[in-house]
Amino acid sequence: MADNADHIDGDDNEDVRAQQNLIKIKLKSSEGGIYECGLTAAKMSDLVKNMVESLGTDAVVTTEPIILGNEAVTDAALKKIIEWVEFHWDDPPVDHDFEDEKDRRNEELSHWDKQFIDVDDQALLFDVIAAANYMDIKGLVEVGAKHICSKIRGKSCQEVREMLKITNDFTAEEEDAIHKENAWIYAKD
Amino acid sequence: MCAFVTFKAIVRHNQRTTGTVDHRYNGTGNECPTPGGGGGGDGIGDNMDCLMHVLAHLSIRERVKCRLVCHRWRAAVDKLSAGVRRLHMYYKTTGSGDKYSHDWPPESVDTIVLTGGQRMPFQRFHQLMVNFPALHSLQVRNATAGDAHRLRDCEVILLSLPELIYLDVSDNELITGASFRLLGKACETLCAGSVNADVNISPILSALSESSNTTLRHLELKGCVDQPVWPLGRWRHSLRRLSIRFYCPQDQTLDTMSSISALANLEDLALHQERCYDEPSAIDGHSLRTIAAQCLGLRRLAITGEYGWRLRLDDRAVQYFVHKCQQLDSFVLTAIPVVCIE
Repeated sequence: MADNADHIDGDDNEDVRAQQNLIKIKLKSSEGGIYECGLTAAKMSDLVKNMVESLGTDAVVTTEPIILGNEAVTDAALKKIIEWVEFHWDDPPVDHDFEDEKDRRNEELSHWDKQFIDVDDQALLFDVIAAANYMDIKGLVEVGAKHICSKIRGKSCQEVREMLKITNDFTAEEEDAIHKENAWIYAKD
Repeated sequence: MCAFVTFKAIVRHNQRTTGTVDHRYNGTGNECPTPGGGGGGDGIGDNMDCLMHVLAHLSIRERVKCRLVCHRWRAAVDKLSAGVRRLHMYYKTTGSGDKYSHDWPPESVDTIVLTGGQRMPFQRFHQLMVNFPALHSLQVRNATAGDAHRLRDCEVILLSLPELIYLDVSDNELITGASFRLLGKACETLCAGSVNADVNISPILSALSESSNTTLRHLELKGCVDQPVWPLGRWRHSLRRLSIRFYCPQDQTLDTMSSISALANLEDLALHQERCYDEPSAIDGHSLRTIAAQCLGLRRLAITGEYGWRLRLDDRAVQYFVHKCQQLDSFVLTAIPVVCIE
């Protein structure tokens, strides 16, 4: 299988993509855990995709796992990420030229994505987003960003701080100054 | 190179699209900076890049509110806003406050979209230039009745912002164009008039021809056409794109379109006729020939109308046109499936 893997590399044909996803590559988290992932799925990460393209598919399949050194890529985060890419690898590609960025931002998450991203462990959630950002998986970063946004929306600053466990590091004077700068958004519609 | 473009009927509605993406994350790096300051906890705020991704999904109001959360968040919001070049302003409140004041680096703003509610503080236009030194593009939307007495057409705009390069005041029923004689010398693009508000194109053009402007490159007009000749000669050399969305008073066919031939350097011409169901088209074989004989540099031509109009063009006029304008690479016509007969 690895023999013909190279020459089908550039092909976007659906069957080829499906076939390629049967090829498993290994990804290594920053904590040392090694996980298998389908090639097409893994290539949703631009970081992995570039590595595979520069090393050649053969090398990636037969040799050492790809090391994801960023500390956000914990074992748990990597498992989540693999779960996501294995579910989404056959999504139709997003055409950035034709899609209105604003529309896409306002689009609701799918049910599956909502369930996927709604994790109780907040540290894990942040790790997943940071790791997806590091691995350059745009779709997943967006899912995470939308999820956090849906939680922030409509909350006061204090509530946001409590939810995300952020300490307020402004002095009273600084806060006053920002209130003044922000005054225009409180103007009633 | 186009020996004979096939005379195809393409029905297309020429809706102008206006940009809607207002604030866009301008990040460049793919790599993710490691948590700064030795890592003070497992927050999303530790990673500036991610935080900016998150905040980019919020509305501007929500985002500005988030400046109060902590230093990092404020920095992230301000960094996001630093890339803002297009600013949308909405006027809905009454009162004396300067509602467009804000704390973002105004030097970067070069485009402003003003959307009026009940009252647009037109007396403050002169401040725009002071507040936004890089401003060269302005769109005004929905200027409504409350502004009428202060607006005096768009005199205030033109007097306060003489250096605008792009001005779009189209589709505002109050701005009928009498004040365009004040159009600045720098202006290269002007969109004016309105079909829905029955604005007449003639006074706009007459006012424009009294202005000092000779540099207009792109003119977009909307409204009623009832004048036999358009005074376009002033922009003979400068005008590259002309787009007219118009209707004609009933039972009136004028040879206005021939005056387009004055524009020797025209590259892009779009004529969209409205309210023309079962009516003859304003353009006919004669005017198309006249245009073809003078505007040899035309690259794009679109003659569109509503379904069912009577396009007064025959094969020979079209072939003459295609033969004359060798640069042509796009030609769109609305016609009833079989080519109309003159």
